[in-house]
Amino acid sequence: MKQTDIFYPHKTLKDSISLSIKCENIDNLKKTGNTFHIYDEVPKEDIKLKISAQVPFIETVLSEKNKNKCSDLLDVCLIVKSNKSAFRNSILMERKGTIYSTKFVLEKNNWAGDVNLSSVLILKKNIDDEFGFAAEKGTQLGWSTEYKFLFDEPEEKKGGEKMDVSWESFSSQKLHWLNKYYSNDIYAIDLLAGKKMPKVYLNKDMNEHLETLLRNNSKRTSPKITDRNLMFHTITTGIFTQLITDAITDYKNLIDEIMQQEDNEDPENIADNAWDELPRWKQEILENYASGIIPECRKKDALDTLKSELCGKNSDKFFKEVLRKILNIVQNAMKVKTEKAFSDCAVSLLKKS
Amino acid sequence: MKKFAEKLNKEDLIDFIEGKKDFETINLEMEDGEKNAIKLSDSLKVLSESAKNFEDNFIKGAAKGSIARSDSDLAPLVYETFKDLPRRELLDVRFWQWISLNHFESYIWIRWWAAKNAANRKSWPLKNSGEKIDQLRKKNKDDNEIWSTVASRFLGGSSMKSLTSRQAISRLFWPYKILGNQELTNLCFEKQDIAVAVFERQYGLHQEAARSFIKNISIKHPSLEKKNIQYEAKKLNRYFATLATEYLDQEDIKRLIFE
Repeated sequence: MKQTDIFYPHKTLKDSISLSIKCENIDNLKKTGNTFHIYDEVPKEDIKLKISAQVPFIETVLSEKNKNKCSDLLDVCLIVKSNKSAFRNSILMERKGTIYSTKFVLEKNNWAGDVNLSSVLILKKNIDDEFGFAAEKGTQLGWSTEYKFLFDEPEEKKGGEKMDVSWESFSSQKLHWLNKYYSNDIYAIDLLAGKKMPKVYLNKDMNEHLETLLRNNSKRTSPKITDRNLMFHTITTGIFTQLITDAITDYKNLIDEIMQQEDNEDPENIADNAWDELPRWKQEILENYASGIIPECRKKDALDTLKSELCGKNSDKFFKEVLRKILNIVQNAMKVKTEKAFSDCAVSLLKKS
Repeated sequence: MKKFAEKLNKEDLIDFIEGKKDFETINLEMEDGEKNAIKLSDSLKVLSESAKNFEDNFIKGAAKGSIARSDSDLAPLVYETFKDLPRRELLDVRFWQWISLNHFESYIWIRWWAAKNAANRKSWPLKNSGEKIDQLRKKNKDDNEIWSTVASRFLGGSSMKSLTSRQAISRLFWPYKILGNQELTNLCFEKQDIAVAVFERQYGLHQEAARSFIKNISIKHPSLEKKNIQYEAKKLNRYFATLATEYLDQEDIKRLIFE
């Protein structure tokens, strides 16, 4: 969740803190936007960073009576977070005029995964309650954008960002698992790539007319294209049915596994832990289809509801119900509704005759 | 000291136990290599002996409570043994998988499988790799594969929580490292719910938060009921939606717990 998605009951900075991070000792660290790709070329030495932040209109987060007490009541900190490195801490940034600055060293042997650096404006101590203003020590009042230092290649990147579709012979050695009984089928999906994105295969040995039709990229309206669209639709429905089934089954199995573990009965925790173990592509599938799985839910609540239903007392029943409706969930969720794809085809065929 | 070249998954675990496959390993790079290697080897002997004592006590009929409490005895030894390894290696589940399967396999089977219930206790020791595999991977009534939770105790997972709370050996190392002393470690493992509540949440990675929660939970709720521990942990989590966890010290967090 982004900070902007959270409703704060107190005044926060209208604009972001402007954060600048420069490496003092290594030139040309590979960087895309605010992300440093350390894993690509691990430096021989530790990474020494010089960090500065500019906080716009800092006094606006304080009430009228406190506006002249900015340095007494506000701190600007560098927050260092890295879950994979089992580390969270803050470093006070030193004020010089309107600029806050600090230094930080990333020792190359100390970090794993991604290290996130950001700057936060924080209330320094408890103060009297005033409506609309923060009063509790530690309250966050403003944020910068986040800088990431990737010490390992992100797992989702290993999987690629989209699903590959390739034409292969189902009799080839590459797809040996299809050779014996399925070599004449039209399409297949390989889900056994671990954390990697599944691959979709179309059979190179299919009927040549069918292949010509499926390879046709035309967008104009014609009976031929309507037929092709229906074929695409049928294939896509099959594939998404399998993807959602696999993702939700895996998630349910992980939940059940964690539930069995000794002394772990906190549903919120179980749902989060199982979620963390799920490969990124499965998380994305469930994020994208949660509102289709639980259509009675508000879109933004759907994923949380799905998680708690799968951890709840009636989770087995809920899960079976989802599987029972999975084909319909997919049909409803398709960009072009199934009913339309089939009807368009029927109309064009009947017109032809 | 080594780690697996690739992270093991459940199927690999089966292959390892069957002894079917040689898994490629990587030697860990240590500063001051030879000197540290000798020190590490000595500490590992002490730790292995303690794990062996644990196994002997179990066979002699140690009660379930004392099995769980052994965590607080072993945690400082695990910490002492591995503390000088580069931090990056200690964050790498491939190292914990290697050490678990090569040095602590019996300990993990007993702690996380045999001690679980009377039937498992009766079946221990499992006679061969076949029996172990049968326990690791079972079929449910719908003929789906169900994996025993002991698999995740060997393998850990990809999340931070699996390192601090689930993998059988790293879950002893990291809490001790974060808490920094025996007294807090005893309190942490006195009731497993405390360890789970703190080290399966992100604020558990902030030393001050973890220490304060563990110090104060038993003061606020002396009977340490699971529901109270979970409630307090959740309450603290909610505070941290608007408060910067990393900025607060132990006293600040104590105040939030007692609020």
